[in-house]
Amino acid sequence: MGRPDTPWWFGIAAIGVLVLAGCSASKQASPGPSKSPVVKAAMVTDSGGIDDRSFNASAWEGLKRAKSELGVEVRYVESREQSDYKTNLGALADQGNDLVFAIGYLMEDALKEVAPRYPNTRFVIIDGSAPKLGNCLAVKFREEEGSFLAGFVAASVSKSGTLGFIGGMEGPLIKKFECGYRAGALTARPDITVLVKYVGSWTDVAKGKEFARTAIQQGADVLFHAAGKSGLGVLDAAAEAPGQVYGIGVDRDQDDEHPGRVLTSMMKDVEGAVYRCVKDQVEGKWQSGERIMGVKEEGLKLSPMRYTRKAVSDEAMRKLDIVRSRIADGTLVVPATEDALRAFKPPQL
Amino acid sequence: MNGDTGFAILAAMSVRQACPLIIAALGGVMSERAGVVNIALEGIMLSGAFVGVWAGQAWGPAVGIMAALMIGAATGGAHLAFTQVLRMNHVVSGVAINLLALHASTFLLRAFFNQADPPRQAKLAETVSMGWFIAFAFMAPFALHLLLYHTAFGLRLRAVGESAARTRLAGVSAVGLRASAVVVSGMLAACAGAYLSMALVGRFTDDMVSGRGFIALAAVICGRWTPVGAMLTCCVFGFFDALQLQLQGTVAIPSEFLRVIPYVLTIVVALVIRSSPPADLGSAAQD
Repeated sequence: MGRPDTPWWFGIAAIGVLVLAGCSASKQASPGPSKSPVVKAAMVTDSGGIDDRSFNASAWEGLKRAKSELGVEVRYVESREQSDYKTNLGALADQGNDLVFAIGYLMEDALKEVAPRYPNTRFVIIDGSAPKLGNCLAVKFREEEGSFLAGFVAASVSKSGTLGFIGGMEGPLIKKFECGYRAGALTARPDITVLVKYVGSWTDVAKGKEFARTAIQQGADVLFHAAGKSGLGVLDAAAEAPGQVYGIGVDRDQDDEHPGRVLTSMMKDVEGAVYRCVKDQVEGKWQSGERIMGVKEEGLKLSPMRYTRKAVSDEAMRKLDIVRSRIADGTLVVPATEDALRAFKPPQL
Repeated sequence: MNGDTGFAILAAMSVRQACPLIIAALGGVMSERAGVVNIALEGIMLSGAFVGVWAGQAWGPAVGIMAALMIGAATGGAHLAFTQVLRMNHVVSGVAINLLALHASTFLLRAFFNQADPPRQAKLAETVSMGWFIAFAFMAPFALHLLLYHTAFGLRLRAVGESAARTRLAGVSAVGLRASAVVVSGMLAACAGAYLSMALVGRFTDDMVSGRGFIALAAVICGRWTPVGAMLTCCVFGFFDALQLQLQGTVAIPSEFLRVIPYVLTIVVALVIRSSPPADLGSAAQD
C-alpha cells in the first residue's frame, strides 16, 4: 500500500491554522486578579491527577475545606504531562484566580517561568522551591521530623532489633527520610540495626516487593518506605511475610492498604498547608518566601494507627509524646543528612 | 543466615527476577527472527499487566490471563499492521506502541478503578501461581529451539528474517509467517506482563514494567537471537539483580554501583560476543 499523496497546500494550511490558534491563545487579555470580594483559589495537579489518594487529592481536600469554611471560590486543573504545567499555571492566572497552587516539586521550573509574567497573581508551590519573587511562596516539609517519629515507633515495636528502610532513589530528599528514621530508631533503642536499601525506581512495584522480602529475610521486622509506587510492594511484602512483620506507609494514611500489617504512616499534611495559605489570603496575612512545616506546625504526623494501636505499648506511646513535644519545642534537633546523623546523640527520655 | 539457605534464597530470587525477562525475550526472539524489530515489548508487557489485573479481578484469574494474551495478540497485530502493511519504520511503531500503552494504562486505571492506587487484589496473587509461569519460562526456550531449528516452519521463519523477498520466491507467504511470529511474540510479552502484575505483585501500578521490556530485548541481542541464549542471558541478569538486592545495605558499596552491574554486563557481552542480527531485520515483507 502506498502512502497517500498529501497535497503541498495541506501542510501550509495546517501550519497556518496552528499559528492562528497560537495567536488567539496568547492574545487572550490577562484581566489580572479579580477585584471582587470573593477570593478565588485554584490548583494545578501534577501528572498523578486529582484522585491520586496522595498529594493532589489532599491539596484538593484543603481547597474544598477552604470553600466550605471560608467561602472562597475553588477549582482545579489536571495535568497529564510535565509539559502541561506551564500552560495550566498560566491559564489559571489568566482566569483571574488570586491564589494558584502548584502541587509538587516537579512544577518548580514551570513556576519559575510563569510567575514573573503574572505579578498580580500569588503562587504557592507545595513541597518544592519557589523563585525569589514577591508573589511566590514555597511550602516545604521537614520530612526528617516525621520520619524520626516513624523510626521511634518502629524500634519500639521491633522484636528482632533490625529495621528496614526502602527508598526510591538516593538523593538529598529521600536521605532526609532515611536519616530521620534511623535517628528515631536509635533514640528508642541504641542497639538497633537499620538495613537501608534503594530500589532505583519510583514505579517498580515488583522490585520494591523483592527488596522488602530481602530485608525481611535479613532479619528486618518493621519496614519504612519512601519509594512512591515501588513502596506499595514494600507494604505488600510486609503483609505477606510470616510472623509479625509490619510496613510503615508514607505521605498519606496508607494504613488501609493492609489493615493490621501497616504499623502507621508518616503523613504530610498537604491539606492543612493548602487550607492555611488560603486562610492567610482571606485574612490579608499572606506572605511570600518560604513556609517550613514540621512536627511543630503539625505538617508532619503519624497516622492514628486505627488497626495497630494495640501493637505499641503504652510506655512507648508515652515516650513518643515526649519525643514529639521535644521536636516541637526545638530541644531535639532531628538530623537530615548523613553527617548530621553521625554527630547525633540520642537523647535520654 | 547460613551460607546454604543464603544461596537458596539468592537462587529463588534470581529465578523470580529472570522469569518475566525470559518470557518477554522469547517474544523478542520470535519476532526478530522473522525480521520484525520489536522494541514494543515494553508496551505490550504493560498492556498485558494491566488487562490481566483488570479482567482477573472482575472475572477470575483464568479470564485475566486469557484477556492478557488477547491484548498481547492484538497489540502485536497492531505492530505487524504498522510495520508490514503500512510499512512504517519498526522502531517508530514500537515507540508509538510503548507510549500508547503507558498512557492508556495510566488513564484506564483511573477510569476503571476511580483511583490511582486501587487496593491490591490479594486473591489474584494467591490463585495465580508463580510456579506455572516459572515452569513455562524454563521449558519454553527449549520448545522454541526445537521449533526454530528442527521444523519446516522454523526454517521458513528464519528464512523470512534473512530475506523476505527470496522466501516469497520460494513460494512461501512472507507476510503470513511474519504475522504468526509477531502475534505470538505479543502474546509472550503480554504473558510476561501478566506474571508481574497477577502472580508476582497482585496489583497494577503506573509504569510497573519499568524497563524490563528493554532489558529483555538486550537479552535477545546478547543471546545472539537464539531462545536458549536469551534465556541464559536473562538468568545472568536475574542473578546480578538478586545479588544487588542482597548486598545493598549490608555491604559498604554504594547502591548505584551494585545497580549498574547488569547493565555494564550487557554492554561488555554485546561487545565481546559479536553477532549479526537476521539480515532482513526491519524490512516490510510483501506477498
